[in-house]
Amino acid sequence: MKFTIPSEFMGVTSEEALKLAESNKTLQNPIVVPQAVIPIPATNLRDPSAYIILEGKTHGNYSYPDLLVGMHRLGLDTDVQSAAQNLGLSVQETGQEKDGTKYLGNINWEQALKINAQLGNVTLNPRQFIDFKELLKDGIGGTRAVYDGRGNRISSLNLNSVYDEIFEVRDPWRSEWLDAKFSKVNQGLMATIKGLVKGQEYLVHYNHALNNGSLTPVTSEALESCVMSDGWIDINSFNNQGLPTKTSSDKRMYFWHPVDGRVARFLANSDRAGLYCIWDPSGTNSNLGVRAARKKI
Amino acid sequence: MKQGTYKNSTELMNLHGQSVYMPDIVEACLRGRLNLFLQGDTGSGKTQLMRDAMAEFGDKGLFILGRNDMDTRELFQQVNLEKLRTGKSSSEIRELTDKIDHHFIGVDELPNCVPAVRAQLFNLFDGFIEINGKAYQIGKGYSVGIATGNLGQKFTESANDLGRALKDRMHVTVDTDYFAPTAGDTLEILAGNTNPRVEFSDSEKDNSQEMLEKHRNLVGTEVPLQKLLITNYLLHGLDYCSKGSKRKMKESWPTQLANNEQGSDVGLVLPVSPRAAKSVIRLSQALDDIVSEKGASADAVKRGYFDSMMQAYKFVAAYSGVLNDSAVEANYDGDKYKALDAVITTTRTQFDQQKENIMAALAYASKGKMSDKVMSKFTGRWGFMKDTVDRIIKSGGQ
Repeated sequence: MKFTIPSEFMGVTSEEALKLAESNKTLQNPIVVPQAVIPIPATNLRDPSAYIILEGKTHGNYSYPDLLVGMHRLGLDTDVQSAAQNLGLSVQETGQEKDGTKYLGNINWEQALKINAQLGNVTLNPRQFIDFKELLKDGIGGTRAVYDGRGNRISSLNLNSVYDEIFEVRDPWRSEWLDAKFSKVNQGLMATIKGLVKGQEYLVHYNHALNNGSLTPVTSEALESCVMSDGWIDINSFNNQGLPTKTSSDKRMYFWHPVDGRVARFLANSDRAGLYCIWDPSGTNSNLGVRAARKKI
Repeated sequence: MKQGTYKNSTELMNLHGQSVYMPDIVEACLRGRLNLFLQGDTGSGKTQLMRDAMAEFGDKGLFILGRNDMDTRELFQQVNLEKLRTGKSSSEIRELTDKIDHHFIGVDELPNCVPAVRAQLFNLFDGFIEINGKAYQIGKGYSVGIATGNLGQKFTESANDLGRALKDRMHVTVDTDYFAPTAGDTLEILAGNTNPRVEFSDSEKDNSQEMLEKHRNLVGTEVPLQKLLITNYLLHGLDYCSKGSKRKMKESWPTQLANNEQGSDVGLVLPVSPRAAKSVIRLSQALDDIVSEKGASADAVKRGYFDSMMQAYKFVAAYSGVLNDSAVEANYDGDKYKALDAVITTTRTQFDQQKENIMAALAYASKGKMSDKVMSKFTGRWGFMKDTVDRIIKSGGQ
C-alpha cells in the first residue's frame, strides 16, 4: 500500500517543518508528564455555571492560574451591594447586555477594580482579556472545548453570544474596565528599571489589590515594546502584556496607545471595537462596567 | 437526510464552523454504514429520529419493535423468510435471501429482545442472516441498522451480556438524553401536534439509491494520511503507560498505574480497538462530507482533520467500554462525553506539541529518509511513530 504524504499537518507545512528540523533550533520536546485532563468544577462560586474557565497561561515571565471569567459584566446582587457599601459606594445597574442581562455602570476605573477586589474577584488585565477573547473564538470555531465553572461544555451558540456582547461592532456603545494603568517613568529612575527601552519609557501596573482600602498594583514593570500610536492593529500580534506589536489595515481592532496616568478598557460601538489605553480613570458612563473573574479553586 | 418530524436544535458539535445536530450524526452513520444505537430515556425522541431515518429508505426500510416474546420464527416472518423454517437447501435459501432488499433495519427497544433474536438482528444490520450455521447476504451490498433502547447504568456493566453485545456490534452510540431538544423545540413540537404517538413519516420517495451513492463515494475516497496518523495515536499512543501497555495490564489497569498517571488521560481512557478505529475514520469522513455540504470550505475541512477525527472519536468511543467508569463517575458526574472532551483536550495539546515533528518526519519520509534528530522526539506515548514512519517509507509514500 502506498501512502500519499500530505504537504501540511495541523497548519504546519512541510517546508516550515523541514526548515525547523534542519536549523540549529531545538525541535519541540514532547510532553513527558501526562497532562491533567479533568476540568474540575469550581467550588468558590455561588453559580459556577455563569462563569467560563480560562485556563492558566504563561506569557514570557508572566503567568496566571486557571481563572473563572464571568459570562456577563458584573451585575447587582446582595454580595455586590454589600461590597459596594463597605467601600462607601452607591451602585446601580445602568447597563444592559443584548440578552437583557443588566450590569453595573457609572463606575470609574478605581471603583470597578475595588468592587471586584472586595468581592474576592480580580479584574482581567489586557493579557488575560486577549486570552479570553481567543478562548471564546476557538470555542465558537469548535477547535477548543470551553467549559463553564461546573465543568460543563459550553455550546458554541452561547459562546458566540458572550463574544458578540464584547466585540461585535454595533450599537449600543458598551465597554468594560481592564486592570492596567500606565505611567511615564521619572527620568531619575530610568536607569534602575530592568527592561526599559529608551524612547518608550513607560511602566504598566496591573494585578491591583486592595491594601488598607487603597488600590495598589501587585505588578509594576517596564512596558514591553508595543504599538505607540493610535490606529488599527494586527490582532495576532499581542505581546506578553496583551498589547499589540503590529499595526494593520484590516480594521478588525482599534488601539489607543498607552498614555501617562491613563488606564485600559475595551470598547465596542457601531464604528469599531478597540482596546483603549488612553482612558481617564475617573471617567464613567452608564454602559461602562466591569467583568468579574476569580481564581479557580 | 430530509427534514423529518424530529425537532432538535441542540448542537452536538461545531465542526469547521458549521453546527452539527442530531439528524446530521444519524445521516453520517447512514453514509458511513455505521450501525447506530440511540440510547435514552423515554420521550427523548430517539424512536422518532429512527423513524425519520427509515423514511429515507422508502420500502427498503424495515421496522421491528423489540419484544421479549418475539422468537426467531417471528423475526423471519417479518423479513419474509418464514419458508426457511421448513428446511431448505443452501441454494433455495440463497434464492430466498436474495429477494430481501432491505437496506435499513430499524429496531425500537432492542433491549427487550431475547439474545437469539438480538443476534439475528445484529446480523441483519451487518447485511446477512445466519441459517443453519451459514451466512447469507441480504440488502444487496448496503445495509445498516439503527436501534433504540434505554439501558441506563446497565450499559456499562461488564458482566451484562447486552452491554457487551452492543459494544461489539453497534459502531456508534449516542445518548439522546445529553442532547435533548431545547425548550424552543418542544414549544414548536407541542404547538404543531399534540399526538403523543411516534409519527410514522410517509415514505413519499425512496432515497436509498441516493444514500447508497453517497456511501460509495465515501468509501471510495482515500483516507488522508493525517487521519491515519491520528488513528494510530488512538490505537497506540493511548495504549502507552509507565507499565508499557495498558492493554497488557488487563485487569490491573488503572489501579496499578503510577500516581501521576491516575489523574490524567492515562488512567481515564484505554486505546480504541482496531474495529472502533475504523469506525472513527468512517464517521469522521462522513461528518466532513456533511459539513462541506453545509458550507464548510474545502480548506477548512482539510485544516480541520484533527477536529473531525476527535468528534468522531467522541461518539464512537463514549460507550465502547474504553473509559474508566469510576473516574468518569467521580470526576465528570458520570458524563462520558465530558470525560472524552477532557481526553480530547489533552490529545490536542499532545498534537500541538508534536505537529512540527510529525510534519518533519513525513517530509523526510517523502524523500525516503528518516531523520534521527526528528525521530528522537517521539518518545513515550509517541513511540509508535518510528514504526509508522518506517512503514510509510517502505511503502514508497510520496
